[in-house]
Amino acid sequence: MRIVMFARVPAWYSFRQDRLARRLLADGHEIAAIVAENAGTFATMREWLHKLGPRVVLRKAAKRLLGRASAGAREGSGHSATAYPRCEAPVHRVASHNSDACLAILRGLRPEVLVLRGCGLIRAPVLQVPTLGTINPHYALLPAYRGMEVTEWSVLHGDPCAVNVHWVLEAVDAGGVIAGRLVEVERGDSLGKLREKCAALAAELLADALRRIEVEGIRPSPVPSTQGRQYFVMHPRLYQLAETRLKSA
Amino acid sequence: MESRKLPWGTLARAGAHLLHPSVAALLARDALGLGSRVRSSQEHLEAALRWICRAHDECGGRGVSAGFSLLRGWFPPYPETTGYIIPTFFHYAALTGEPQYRQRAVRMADWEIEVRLPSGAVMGGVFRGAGHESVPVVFNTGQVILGWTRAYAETREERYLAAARRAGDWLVQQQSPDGAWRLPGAETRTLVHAYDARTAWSLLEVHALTGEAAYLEAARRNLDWTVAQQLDNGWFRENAFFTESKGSLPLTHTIAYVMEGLLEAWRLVGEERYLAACRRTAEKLLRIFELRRYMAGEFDDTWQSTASFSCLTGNAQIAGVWLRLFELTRDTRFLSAALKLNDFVKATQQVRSLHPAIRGGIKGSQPIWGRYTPYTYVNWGAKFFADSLMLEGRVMAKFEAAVLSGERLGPGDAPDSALARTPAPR
Repeated sequence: MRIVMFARVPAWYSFRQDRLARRLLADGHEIAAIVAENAGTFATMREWLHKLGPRVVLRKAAKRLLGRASAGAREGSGHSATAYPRCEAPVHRVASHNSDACLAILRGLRPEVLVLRGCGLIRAPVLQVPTLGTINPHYALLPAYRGMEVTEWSVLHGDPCAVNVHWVLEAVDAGGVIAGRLVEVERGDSLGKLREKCAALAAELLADALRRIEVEGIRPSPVPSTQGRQYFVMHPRLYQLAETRLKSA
Repeated sequence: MESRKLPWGTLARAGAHLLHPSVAALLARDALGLGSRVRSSQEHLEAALRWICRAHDECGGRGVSAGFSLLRGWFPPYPETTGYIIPTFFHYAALTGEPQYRQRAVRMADWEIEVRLPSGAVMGGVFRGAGHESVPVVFNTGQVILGWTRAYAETREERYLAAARRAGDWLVQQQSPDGAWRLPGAETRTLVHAYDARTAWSLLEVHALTGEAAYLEAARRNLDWTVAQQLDNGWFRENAFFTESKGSLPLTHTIAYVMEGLLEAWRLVGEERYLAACRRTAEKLLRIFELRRYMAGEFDDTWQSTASFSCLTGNAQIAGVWLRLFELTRDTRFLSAALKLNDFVKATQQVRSLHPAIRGGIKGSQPIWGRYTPYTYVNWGAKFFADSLMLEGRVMAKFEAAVLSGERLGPGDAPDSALARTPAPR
């Protein structure tokens, strides 16, 4: 399938070893391009440190520097991580994914599926461009946990952690789920490690979702907006509590 | 033509206040948009209470000064807000075991009896002395009733209940047939107010102590009228202080007043419509705050705001309402948002300032020159901030225990229909 990926990364970020891109290429999909919204280096580093923790960030950086495939790609796909092709797709840099410039680029690329890989809310004109639809990995059970920092909210509540790939509609996390799986929480896991596990699983589930779209002909479906709650950024004190709960589980 | 005299005395006082290095630092901080370090809730709470004590001492330990103006210094005591500071002091005394707060609360309640009007009502504005003209005001009367009923509950001294009853009778007499109160006030240009829901709450407190149906009926009439003022989006009509274009919009302070009144009314009479109305507004404000990452000081009927200030009193009150709703619904979004909004207020409180009138005080607006009570630290800001922090302490202690015990706290745990009424945060 002809795919365009949306990402929000600093200008220096390279997609050549991007776990998700390589995973999709390994499945024979065509990544027409990656459209990257520019994010500030300082803000990105702060976000990564907040979400993953310094240990996971350092480990990932070291792996990148050593040129090895990331750990998550190993998970039960039948593919050898090191055998994944490098991603050489062209990267377009835009100020905003909802800008006219981005819309023009996207229309020129004529994607069948738009894959979101960590970006903000995408508006209707952009969502209307891909012929089959837009999909997004979400790191919690849907529709119970919509919105932001949902892995942390799930942990805080003592609910199972999961990754779902769902259709993207204009309302937040309101599209039907295409593929989903629970994340195994192990003794000693931190929130950062859990997020890393989610990211690894998301690559697999996105590949699975694309296969289902291609083979089974699944198409976008909405979920009633009354289901679940939309969560927002968690207060640091609750974040600490979630971390404590996870470690003591 | 009459020549206008310059208020040299006022200007000289203002100049003297503004020359203090702490004031200069404060103005620079607000101009640059810098917040202070957020410390523990306990430290902020103690600072706020100490500031109110200073405001109390400035007025001879009777009524509490309305606040401290950077331009005019300390204000005279304010009967309305002294009235609702009384429960805060009783609460803090119980929390800390420090008797001085209870003694102060009793002195405030006695002072309120001394300065009430012959009708039993409470005057509008600050108390400048017995000889000055004073106008009875509905809302102010209700707020002082809240102080008297609490003083009675704590001391069992009949004089407080008698004062509350007499003030309650005056309120019942003044009420319009539709349930609203329409009396011109000294501090507002608007005639009718949705935020009188707090006045209705005060009548329910009198009813709870006396069992007299007239108070309950009057309160219900007003609360039903209040609910009818709510738009589908949660915004309340008839909820501003002024009618002029600037100031004709409801402040978060008055919006929160309505929510507080409805929430307490629900606690006392169990009418679900009051809770639903409160929750509708609270959820709207939560969404606005989380998505905009800022709480503007006032909103129009579409919840848009052009205000360049945040109303700190309103913020503290909203945080308090969210904390109560978290207790009722176990919806952790309310808890998270309340902690964030309290943090916002904490970052505006100078707990280590060298200026004794600034240290621990809460400004009317952030920045201090914002439209709501500019250049002034207001006693009601400190009061609602203290209330919110005391509630936060209680709520977080219970929540932390629940999380660490491994209790499941996810959505669907406490369906709305199964909500149990809980006691008020005393």
